Amino acid sequence: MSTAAVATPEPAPATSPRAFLDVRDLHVHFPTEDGLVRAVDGLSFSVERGKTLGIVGESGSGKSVTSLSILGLHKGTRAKITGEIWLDGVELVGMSNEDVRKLRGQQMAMVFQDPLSALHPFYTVGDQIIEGYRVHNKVNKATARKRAIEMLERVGIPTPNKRVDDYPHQFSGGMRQRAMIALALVCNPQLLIADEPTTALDVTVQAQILDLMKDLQKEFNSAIIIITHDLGVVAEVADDLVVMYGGKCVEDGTVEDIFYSPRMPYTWGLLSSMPRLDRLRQERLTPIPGTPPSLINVPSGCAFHPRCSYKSLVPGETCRTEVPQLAEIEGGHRTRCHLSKEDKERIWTEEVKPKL
Amino acid sequence: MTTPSSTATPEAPKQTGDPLLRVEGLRKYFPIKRGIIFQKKVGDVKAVDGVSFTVSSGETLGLVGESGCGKSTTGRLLNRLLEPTDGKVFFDGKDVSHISASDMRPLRRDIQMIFQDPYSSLNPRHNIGTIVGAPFRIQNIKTEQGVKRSVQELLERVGLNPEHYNRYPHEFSGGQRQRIGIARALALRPKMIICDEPVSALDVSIQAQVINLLEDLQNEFNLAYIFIAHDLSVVRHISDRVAVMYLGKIMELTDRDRLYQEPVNPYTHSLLSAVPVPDPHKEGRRERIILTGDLPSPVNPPSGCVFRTRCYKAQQKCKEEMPQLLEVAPGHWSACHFPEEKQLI
Repeated sequence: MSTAAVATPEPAPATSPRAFLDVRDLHVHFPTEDGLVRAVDGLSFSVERGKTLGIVGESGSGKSVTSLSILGLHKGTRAKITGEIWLDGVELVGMSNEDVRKLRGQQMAMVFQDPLSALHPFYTVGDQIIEGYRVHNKVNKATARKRAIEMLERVGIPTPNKRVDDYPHQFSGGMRQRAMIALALVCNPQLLIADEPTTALDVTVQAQILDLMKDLQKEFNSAIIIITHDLGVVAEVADDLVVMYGGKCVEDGTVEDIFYSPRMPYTWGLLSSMPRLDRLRQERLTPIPGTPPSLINVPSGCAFHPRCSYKSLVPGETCRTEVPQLAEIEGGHRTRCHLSKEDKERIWTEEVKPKL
Repeated sequence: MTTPSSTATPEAPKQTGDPLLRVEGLRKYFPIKRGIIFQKKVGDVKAVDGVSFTVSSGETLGLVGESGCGKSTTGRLLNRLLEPTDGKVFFDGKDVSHISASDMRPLRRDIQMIFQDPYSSLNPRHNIGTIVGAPFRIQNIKTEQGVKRSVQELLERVGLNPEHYNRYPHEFSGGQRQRIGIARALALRPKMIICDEPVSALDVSIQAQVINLLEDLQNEFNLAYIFIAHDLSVVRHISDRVAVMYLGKIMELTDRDRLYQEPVNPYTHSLLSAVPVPDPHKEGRRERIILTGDLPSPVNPPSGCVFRTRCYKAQQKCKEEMPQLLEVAPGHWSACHFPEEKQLI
């Protein structure tokens, strides 16, 4: 964990942030008629340039809200954001909408899940890339167009000088996602956030897109945050991982930590509930019982306790009454769980791992 | 597969008597029309192009492939939500490929369907009792203890609270809604259920719950499943036999273990190698076949082998001659001129 430090101890130190992107104690709350939605509740992580951070979790765990707040896309809405987001030494939460707008596209960019709804159907793909480029660079249309063609070529669109004048509906799903990536990368942003970039795509196209993202990262040395629910995807591209549940990080560490020595019942549940191609077929899957919590009514104490099968190992009612802290296990690998370190290690090696 | 008559039907390996469902040379062409008043047919979308397979009772046949390969259309042809252009569908020994809607109605007791999207497949204005009880009303079936009791038993069977009888779909989560869809499909004790991507809209932890439920129900009621999905790991888990489709054709059809361990078709190879596995060390070492480009248009499929434009083994012969779906080993069917020999994983 020397290069990409996920470890930001709670509470955050007052020293100036060193990581390229440093999110500290982020809270995003939405007041609604039904009550306060605590979409993100005290999240801290950091990413260095040239590294990839994966954020994993089920729907409603707050992963997309996190990415939108980094980009400042909650500004001007009713969302209440507290905490700090430092990007390259600049704090984003307190920044005005206008100032964030100057950074968006230039310094940080986003690839959305559904390229058909993220691209404008009325403008050609080229026009959309050109617009993005000209907002941040004082160039004439012809130069910007050249740049757009160059980008389309870079992401592997065949005959880019023709396809640049096509509308999004004339592209196939994989090509649209490539065009989205071209659009996001046109100003060479140092931070790329990809929110479920391959969920809508077929496996063969998914493999192409993930490869492309890895190549581009090497070329531009950018930091990437990839948000997904597919553990296979993060195993392939990510260096570090944050597992989210109920708006909180429940486990973080390097990819090795999380895949080879996870120490949190929710992560165990995720790993054992998915059928895997690389292992012998199990007779039966082991699902996590129950359903993900509502973010208006997050269970007291540990948000995962109603679904956790190991809570009886913790003495008393601690799991129900007390929110566990994100505590370090070793070398930057942290979990939010009341189980003792010995119990966690024993359960993983004796009960969970053999069944995977 | 130029003429449907020349195609042998791949049979299930352990056959006892007639299969529950037999499909022979099934085709569905959607016409493309030009003009407003004087419409002229200018071409066809060959969504399903000569598909043959059988399903026995209690068996699960997985249909996998990329989007646009015709797997959902095949599912819809089987229970006659679409009319086949050509080919035959035999259910329980009876030819159902062109029977009228009124003749089809009694058969719908035996063939049911579970849909992909649990949000749009339930009527938001009907409560759960009405939704799950609809099959009884439509088929005019009176149950012993009355429809309400039967519906409540069904709800309990799929893991929902029977007291939720009067609730509406919006009050349920995605996984619970999918259970409602399963209860509805199960109501008339069908022999076969066509599951069209039943778990792909659900979260991982919920997916496993629904898959386990489907397996339990299969054991309890001896159901046959046609399991349509794009997720190869889920299909491996649930299926007994798997058919891999590409551009309206079956590329490879065999039992589960053979398909995942010794596939012979290059397309199956590339599909399997593209699935990311949740193991960073293995992921780094794996040899991966990355297909270039996208699925060709089914309006204008490539000559010869449909996969040749993206195939890493394509040769001149693939361009000229369409490979037949041939039995390469007992119960193992594949359509390829140059089958792959090396083992996978």
